[in-house]
Amino acid sequence: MHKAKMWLGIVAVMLLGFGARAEKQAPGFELPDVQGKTYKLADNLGKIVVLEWTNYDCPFVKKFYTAGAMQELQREAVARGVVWLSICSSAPGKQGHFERDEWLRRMQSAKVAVPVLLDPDGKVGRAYGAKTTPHMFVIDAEGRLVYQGGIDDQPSARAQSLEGARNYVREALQALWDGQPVPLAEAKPYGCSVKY
Amino acid sequence: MKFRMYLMLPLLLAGLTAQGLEPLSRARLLADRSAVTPGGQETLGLQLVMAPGWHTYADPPGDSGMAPRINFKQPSDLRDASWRFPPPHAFRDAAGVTYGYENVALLLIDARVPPDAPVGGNWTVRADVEWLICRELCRPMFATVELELPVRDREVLFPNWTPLLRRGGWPAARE
Repeated sequence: MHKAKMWLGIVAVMLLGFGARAEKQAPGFELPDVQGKTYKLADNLGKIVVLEWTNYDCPFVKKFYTAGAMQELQREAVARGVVWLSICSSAPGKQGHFERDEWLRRMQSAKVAVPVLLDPDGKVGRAYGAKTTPHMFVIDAEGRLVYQGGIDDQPSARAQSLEGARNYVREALQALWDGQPVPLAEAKPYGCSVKY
Repeated sequence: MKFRMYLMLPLLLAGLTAQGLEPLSRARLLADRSAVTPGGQETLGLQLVMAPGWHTYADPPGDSGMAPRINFKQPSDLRDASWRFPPPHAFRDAAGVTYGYENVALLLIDARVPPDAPVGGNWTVRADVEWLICRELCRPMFATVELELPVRDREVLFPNWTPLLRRGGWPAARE
């Protein structure tokens, strides 16, 4: 019994060690967007960066895009100098993996104005420990991960759940803009699993 | 206009097949009593039935997924009560481990009929339910479930309750 508990503890500590942890330096990466343009995290030092793991066919992602809530938050953030990068780690053949033209068509029809970076081998997704879509990461101007987790406190695919939801990303950005500590560094992400 | 209607017909039929005729998952409300008494204690069950290959989630659901959300419309005092989930199975995919149920899951909650419920009337329970089912892909499911039980001066046990418990993931349920 005690042995089992000890092993459970060791496994738990090992699991905690995996993936990125809040307040740690954000793992560096270099990824192409759907048009082939390269984005490097290191190029954005000095700016706040939001990473949004996405899969346009996941119902939880659709909740935000169909209502325009994700695009609105993206616009709000970008208008204040934030670099917002959507990342798709769907492997070829899996849900959410598209060819260039399909990406452009979908981004245009959803009026998405932020780049979507492609991570088909899942390397960057695994470096960050991205589990779900959406799964959000906020990086401060010093390159530290100050928030990671779900986008809000409403694990639901229903559009009505957007109303009155506590949006952790908006909250983290507001805190950074106000020069305040981010109130919540981590929250449990919800949604579809990343289709590695 | 007429032409447009023809175009829409296959879509309508596809919608019917997806939602009405062959649901991938259904929800219904059950109770351990067929008739209740004023002030009586009941166990209510939310039964989620999944088509083969699909699973729903426990609370907490693990690395991804979503626990069922149950919002009682009536009676409102059940809103803050907590559900008991049967022991879940682990599901593994490339993004991690989740916990949940295949085939049938029966979630349980304790409820009490109001002491002033009139004998001869009905006691009604109604809830909006959202649950997620996944295979490789995920589909959110929505339903309003309702249960109406007659209020009598003597309660009547629901005879099929134990087999329903067993089917719903409670193997230790006794006769």
